[in-house]
Amino acid sequence: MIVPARRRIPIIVEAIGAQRGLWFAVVVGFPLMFYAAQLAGLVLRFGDLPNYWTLYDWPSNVRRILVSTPSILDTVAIISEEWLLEIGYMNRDFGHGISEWALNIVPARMFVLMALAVMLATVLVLRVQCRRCGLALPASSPVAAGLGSALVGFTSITMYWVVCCASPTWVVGLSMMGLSVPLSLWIEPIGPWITAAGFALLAAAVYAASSPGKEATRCGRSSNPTPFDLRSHGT
Amino acid sequence: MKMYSVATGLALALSCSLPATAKTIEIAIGHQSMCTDTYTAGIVVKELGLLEKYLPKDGAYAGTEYDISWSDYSSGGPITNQMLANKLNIGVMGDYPLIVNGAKFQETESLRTLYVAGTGYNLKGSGNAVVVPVDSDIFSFDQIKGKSVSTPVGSAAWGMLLKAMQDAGISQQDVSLKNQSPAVGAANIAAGKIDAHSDFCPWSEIMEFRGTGRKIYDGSQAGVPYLHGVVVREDFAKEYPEVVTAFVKAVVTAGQWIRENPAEAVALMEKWTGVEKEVLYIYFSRGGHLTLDPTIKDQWIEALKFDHKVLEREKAIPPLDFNAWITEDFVKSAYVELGLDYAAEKASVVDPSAANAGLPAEIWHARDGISSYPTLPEFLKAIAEFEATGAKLNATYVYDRTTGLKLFGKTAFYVHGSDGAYEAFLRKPDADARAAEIGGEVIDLPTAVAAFVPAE
Repeated sequence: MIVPARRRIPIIVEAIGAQRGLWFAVVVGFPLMFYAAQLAGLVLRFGDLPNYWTLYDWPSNVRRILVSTPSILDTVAIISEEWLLEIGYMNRDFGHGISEWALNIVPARMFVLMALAVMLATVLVLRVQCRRCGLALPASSPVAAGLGSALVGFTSITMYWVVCCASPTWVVGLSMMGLSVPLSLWIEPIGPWITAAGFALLAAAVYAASSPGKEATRCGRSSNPTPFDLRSHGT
Repeated sequence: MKMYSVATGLALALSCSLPATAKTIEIAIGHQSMCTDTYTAGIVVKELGLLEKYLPKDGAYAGTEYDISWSDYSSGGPITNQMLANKLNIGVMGDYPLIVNGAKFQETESLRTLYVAGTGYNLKGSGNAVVVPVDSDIFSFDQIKGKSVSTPVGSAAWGMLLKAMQDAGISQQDVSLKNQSPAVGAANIAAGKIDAHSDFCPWSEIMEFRGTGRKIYDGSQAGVPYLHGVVVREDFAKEYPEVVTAFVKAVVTAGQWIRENPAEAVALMEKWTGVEKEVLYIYFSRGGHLTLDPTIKDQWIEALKFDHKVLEREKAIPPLDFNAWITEDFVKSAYVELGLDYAAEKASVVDPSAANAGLPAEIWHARDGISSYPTLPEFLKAIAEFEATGAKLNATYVYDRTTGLKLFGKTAFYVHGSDGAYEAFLRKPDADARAAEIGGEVIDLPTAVAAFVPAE
């Protein structure tokens, strides 16, 4: 039976409410872990610890872009590339130093990562809910969530290798990690589609994990629970 | 080409009709202290205060204060991003990043840049080069087949590498192409971790000067001019056209200052940038790789169009309307205001193979400075005598017989003819061919100098 999405919302809300701590931990912790993993990857890949960092005045920069860019579309695109923090390795063997690699915190990308983390955390608390009710867990949900997270994660990479003159893009991160240059460049234009596919998979994972039928069977409810049922039943 | 005289006139008329109020104009410039060809619009203008010298101070600009900021970048890409965000008004970069800059701006709905002046060029493309570890057994470009080659993807050196591979019939599947920044490439060449590295000015000369790398391919073999230039946000240029003209005047003056005393200029540039003066000398001295000429020549537009096609094919960059992007208005105004002949300089093109013929070899003595030697035997004899006294030589310079390019004496291949004459070559295959032609032998610098060691 196909259950409308609106009937799943109370189930999702209750699962989040019941596992509030876990949900917040994943939402906040996932982006932090994501950046920590990127930094660790850079250190392992190049064998150097970061030796410089620069904090950018993001609010002022955004204000400047808003004032000086006539087109709203352009404004959004430019702001989405604005950096908040740059942390990297400066090679001082040449000239007064040349930045070899950097990890950048880009608020717009952080927003995407937070959206990813919200969906991932939701799938997780729904599955905890299932487990507590002692039901068999749907296998499709974690697979879709994992695959979706990987796709969105790849396109949210903000490791920049200062390979001269090439505009920094997410595929530079893939190239740094060993993907061939031609393949990286080939993938670049389809980045937004990869992100969209990732979110679609995550949405499917949330949908699958919030099936009211399974929830009801597991927790001894009717197959069409009302929000009241769910609220009163708890976990 | 765009005309700004009407806009300028309107701006002046409007400003004259309003009560004079002191205002501050922010001028933010992005430059690259590790890219020699940008120096005349970057570090030299900054350090000599040349922009301040030419900024308008009367008429509509009476009482105006200027807030000038300079930001140094490792590459052109970030400069474009900063220009898009209006954190930079003016950017200085090489040909490929310039094209990306123009195309990325034209991709937007509301923003544009203008290519307003060059900084310098090499007609045949010298400045980019492919380097191998100094002890490598690779001596010609076709030997890179099956090897691992790195390059900063998206740079002019990457474009040259693709063109060179195409010319040599080497496909991208024939080599293991890696994306490496200049510093990483240079370090890997020094450590022998990569078979070859393609890079832009002055990285190949840095590797040669430090004794870690050896050129096997010079950009001149690709035959595509290598040039750098200045881009300005169009909204800034429309609002303050006199400021842009002042900037171009500073670029012209920076070039004149270097030409008048290259030895002093490179010594100061070493302090400002950290790049060794001996390396800079190979670019900025008489007979050097770089012709300091800000004019926009028709050949440059053709070269930029060629570069755009490469980028379009390999990186799918957006289209670029060159007519809308390139304007000579500011550089022409700058020449007029400086009392220089724009048309004459635009028509003049320096071809190293002709211009450098007969130029003397040079020795840079650590204490006594640079001395010239009209012939190679005199040059070799001088080195032998200096070495006999234990004198420290910073560098030596000769010219490639094939291309006319200035080379470090220590990296050149010498052909010693049966008649006792010496000739210098950049590439071993050229030297081998010449030796076969005249019945001579190919030797290195120490061997050549040994024949001139003074008798005890």
